[in-house]
Amino acid sequence: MKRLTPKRREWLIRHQFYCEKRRKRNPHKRRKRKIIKPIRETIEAPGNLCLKENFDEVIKFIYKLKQTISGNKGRFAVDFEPIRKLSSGAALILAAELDRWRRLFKFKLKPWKINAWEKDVRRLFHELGIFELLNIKKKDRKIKSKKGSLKFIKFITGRESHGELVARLIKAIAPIIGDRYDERRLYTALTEAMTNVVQHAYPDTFNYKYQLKNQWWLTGSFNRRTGEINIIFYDQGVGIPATLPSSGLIDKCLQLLKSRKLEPHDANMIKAALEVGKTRTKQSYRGKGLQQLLDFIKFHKGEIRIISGNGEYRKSYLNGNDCEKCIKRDNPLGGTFIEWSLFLK
Amino acid sequence: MKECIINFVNDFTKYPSGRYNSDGPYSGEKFREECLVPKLKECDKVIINIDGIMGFGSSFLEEAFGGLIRKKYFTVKEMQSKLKFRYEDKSLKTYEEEIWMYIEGAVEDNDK
Repeated sequence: MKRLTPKRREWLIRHQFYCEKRRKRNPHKRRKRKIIKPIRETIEAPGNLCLKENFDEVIKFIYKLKQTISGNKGRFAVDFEPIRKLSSGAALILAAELDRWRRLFKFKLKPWKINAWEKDVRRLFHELGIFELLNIKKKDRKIKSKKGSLKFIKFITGRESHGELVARLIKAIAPIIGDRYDERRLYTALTEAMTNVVQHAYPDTFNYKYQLKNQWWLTGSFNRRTGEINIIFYDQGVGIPATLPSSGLIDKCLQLLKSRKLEPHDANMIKAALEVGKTRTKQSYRGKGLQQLLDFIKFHKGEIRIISGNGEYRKSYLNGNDCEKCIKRDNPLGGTFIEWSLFLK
Repeated sequence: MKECIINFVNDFTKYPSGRYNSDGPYSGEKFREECLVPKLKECDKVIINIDGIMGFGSSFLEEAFGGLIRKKYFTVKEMQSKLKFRYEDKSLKTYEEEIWMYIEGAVEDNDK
């Protein structure tokens, strides 16, 4: 800093004195200072942002984000610095949430301490397309690590059942995994998931104040070390259990659960909806789409996870064993999340 | 005897998806109304070439082919004599079987 000369110091003191005098004389003419609103709160992301391992914490974080954005727009910050582990599923839910606010209110969230983020988390956020959803200056968007064992595909979103968008994802994963899987079965599963969203996930009775009707999000990830590939599809609709009455499957599902003496909670309802799709219904031409979600992983001996409402349904064909699990969740996800996992090693 | 060929990829799309027109741009309903029904009315025999297709969802196939019977455009017997499939890729055979399942299944619903 330049040192002040005695002459200059004298002038500054005199100037300050006159300014003060002028201000006292004409208080109404006082220049309005731009008030920078203080940040009310900082939301801290959990260290393990992975749905499989830390479901409740992730859902609580997303829920808090949702609540704060809708009630306290712009006066809070999100701290992604604690994140050490990130899964593509949780990242897609986060991206969908940010994308929703951007589309609805042209609102981009300002993140906290960008340069302190874990290198790999930063790279994965960049690969998924989250940087474009956040209010980050271009100079801060640089990534420090370019390679890692985990790779994300940039998320794709839409409001229709559109095969070309699925083809875009298939094209994006082709250089990573080549032709080691059945593209047609994946195409069928994803287009059926999209059709289900457009037809059932966002009914007219739904409150659309903060919702994007028929919107879905899609991404994929590949782990070079374990050979695991995940395809994730997510929508923010009412969820599969809530759509069963409109799709005409509710009676069959309840009947099936009653015959097996199972409680009709959301996880069991998802399981029943998938099974009813196999058999005939009153309108036999409806309800088969859900069953096609399973065909892809059945063929590749993989795993599927469907989280919807307050339930989670898992079906695994790994190592030739066909096993399933229904989990009751305390915290609802808000929409339907489908993850197909294959192990290509 | 007039024979028509529908090249699915060239005449419609490589990316079929969805059941109704409101679902997406290349739905089963659109294919049925704009391609299939006019050709089936015009010709005695319709051959559909499905080579090069990205894949078919059940809702697309059911609406396009099962819908022909449900909407009473044709009967199953008429379909069996009129409709044929052509493909060089043998893995597409499953789709042909699925289509016939929907055509025949749609009749059962009408009978009920």
